[in-house]
Amino acid sequence: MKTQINQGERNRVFFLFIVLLLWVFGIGAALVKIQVLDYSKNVTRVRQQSNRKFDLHPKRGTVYDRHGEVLAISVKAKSAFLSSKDKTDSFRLFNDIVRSRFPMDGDLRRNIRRRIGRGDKFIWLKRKLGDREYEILEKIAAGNHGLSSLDFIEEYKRIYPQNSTAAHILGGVGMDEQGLYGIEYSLDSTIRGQGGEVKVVQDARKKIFKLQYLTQPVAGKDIYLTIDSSIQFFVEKELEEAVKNFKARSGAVIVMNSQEGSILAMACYPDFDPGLVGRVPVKLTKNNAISFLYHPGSTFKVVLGAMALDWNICSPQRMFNCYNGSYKVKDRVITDDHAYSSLSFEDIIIYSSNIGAVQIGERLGRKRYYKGINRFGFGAQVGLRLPGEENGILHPLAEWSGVSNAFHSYGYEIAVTPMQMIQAFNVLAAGGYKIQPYIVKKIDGVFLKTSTKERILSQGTVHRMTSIMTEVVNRGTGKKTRIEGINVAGKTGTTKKISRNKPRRYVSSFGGFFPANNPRVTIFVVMDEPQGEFYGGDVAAPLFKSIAERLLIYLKIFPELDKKNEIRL
Amino acid sequence: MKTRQTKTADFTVNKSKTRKAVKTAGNGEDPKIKTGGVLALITFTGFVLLFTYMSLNLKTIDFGYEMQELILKEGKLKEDIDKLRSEKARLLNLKRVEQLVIEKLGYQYPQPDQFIKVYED
Repeated sequence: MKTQINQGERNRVFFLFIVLLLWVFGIGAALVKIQVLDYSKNVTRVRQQSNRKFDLHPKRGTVYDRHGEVLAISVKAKSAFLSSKDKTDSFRLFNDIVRSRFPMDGDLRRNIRRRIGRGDKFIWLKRKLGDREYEILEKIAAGNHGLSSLDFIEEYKRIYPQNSTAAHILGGVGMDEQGLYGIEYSLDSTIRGQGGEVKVVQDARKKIFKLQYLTQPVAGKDIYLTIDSSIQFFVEKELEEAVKNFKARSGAVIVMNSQEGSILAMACYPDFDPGLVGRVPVKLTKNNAISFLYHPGSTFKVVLGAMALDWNICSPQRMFNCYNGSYKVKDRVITDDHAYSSLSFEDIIIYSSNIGAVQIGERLGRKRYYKGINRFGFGAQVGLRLPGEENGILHPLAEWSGVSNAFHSYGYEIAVTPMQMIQAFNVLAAGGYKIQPYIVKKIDGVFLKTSTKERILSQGTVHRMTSIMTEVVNRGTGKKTRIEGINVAGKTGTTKKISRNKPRRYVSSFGGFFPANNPRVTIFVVMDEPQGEFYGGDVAAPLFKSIAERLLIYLKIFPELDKKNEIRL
Repeated sequence: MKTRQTKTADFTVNKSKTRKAVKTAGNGEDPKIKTGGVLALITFTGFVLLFTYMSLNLKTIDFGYEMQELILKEGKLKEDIDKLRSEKARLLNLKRVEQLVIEKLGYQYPQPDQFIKVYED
């Protein structure tokens, strides 16, 4: 059966066919235009939309103590900024932020308003946000649909989980993770690493399907210090207490492993939080253990005594006239705080007689004494990898006046740092070897070369000098460091600061090591301008003792106790 | 039988030869149906190959997504590890621990006379 199709229907079908044909041609033409004629232009646009390049910040290396406890670590944090496209809208958005519980001080608020009003397009709201801060701002950003936007970028944030512990050693970093002070500064190039660049390829839904590193970022190297954070902690605690007790201007303590030369603790007070280093006065960041210059006073008699014994100038029992407390050298009068008519060589050190020391110095002679001072390492940096280390002041022998030898004999006319002093004291603790102290144990798992060791005193000298220093503690000026059952060897020092305006200003110090027969720890303590009591034996010695007592427990150095405290199984 | 063998062999070599062989065979089979069948087989095989290629391609892209996701996840986990390490260090902050031990648990530092030395013979 044939179906009849009339002319009208034929026309409609033909019309529909033409329309469809045009539609197909239209699509075809559009495709040709997109795919062929505008090919390169469209490819560029697609690449712009789907390929994005990002700078990658390098992760700063972690700083650990000797047992692997984290002292400084970098973690990712968000930084918030306003993309201001319209002033009115930006003000609205900023008011929303202010109304939220986002913490912002008045100055910051005023500054941001001023910048929006000025028409700035990019305004930092806050960098390196805390988790709570980010939560607040993220909600605001998600609910914002205006022209201006609240955006975030990721940065690294340096965290010091132990707060102020070892602050002067660690130093701190700036807003852009650049080292500012301490080890963060001196080893910046090692810890910082290198930034990279990554190309991210996204699909139409902005989903990443390819990451291509154009430059691979290199993470900074991890640093292991010789510091023991537990020792560092209680040394800092004891120092803080002592500085506050004596209302001293500042204080510094160094604890060193006598045989290795590794620094176990290096504390300074007043301290600071390295996480807030940018807001701390610069003078607070000064590491007094390596940059505080002072006249060593009587602690320097240890150097004099050791040199005199090593050169065999006299025996420890030889008597010296002490002129009842007043002795003239050229046009200067040297005095003793306690007048003595005569003292033996060892008693001169035990009771810290300046007049006796001057006479030992005279017998030793300026050339030999100068040579000895140099051998102990004075006048040059110890060589820790820390910034701001001072050389000290040791005038060349040619510049020594007629009284220089006398002044040097009891620790004046020379300026030293506490680090130089502990290095000198440690020569006796280490059996006559000068060991270079060090604070960096390993970098990225690689142990650094151990410190240099050089014999500068004979075994006999060390033995004699140690026994004199033990007597300083048992019956001399350092009695306040006596610990039951433990032999401590040490020497006190009190220096009058030379100032016309403030005449009664002193530096009190004490250096020593224990157990004297087999030294394990050397400690040096300095207190600047203590109020009230000022003698090294009254100010620095008790601090030495309290640190030593805690160290004995921590290092399991057991004292020879009373029989009643012994149990035999 | 001989012709069939020729046909099969020729088919793989030359299409026109195959047609000739079919015609000469005169066994009553419709050559159009045969050609259609072969074409359908080729088309089917082509589709199968195309489908396999496309599914493999899609799978590769899927793997790409998965891999990038895992790389990002790995990075995120590393960040979390760092955050946890810093948190652990913060919690083990000696100042905090000492405060807790002394104030909450009532511990005290031992005095020198409180030490007892234990010997084991």
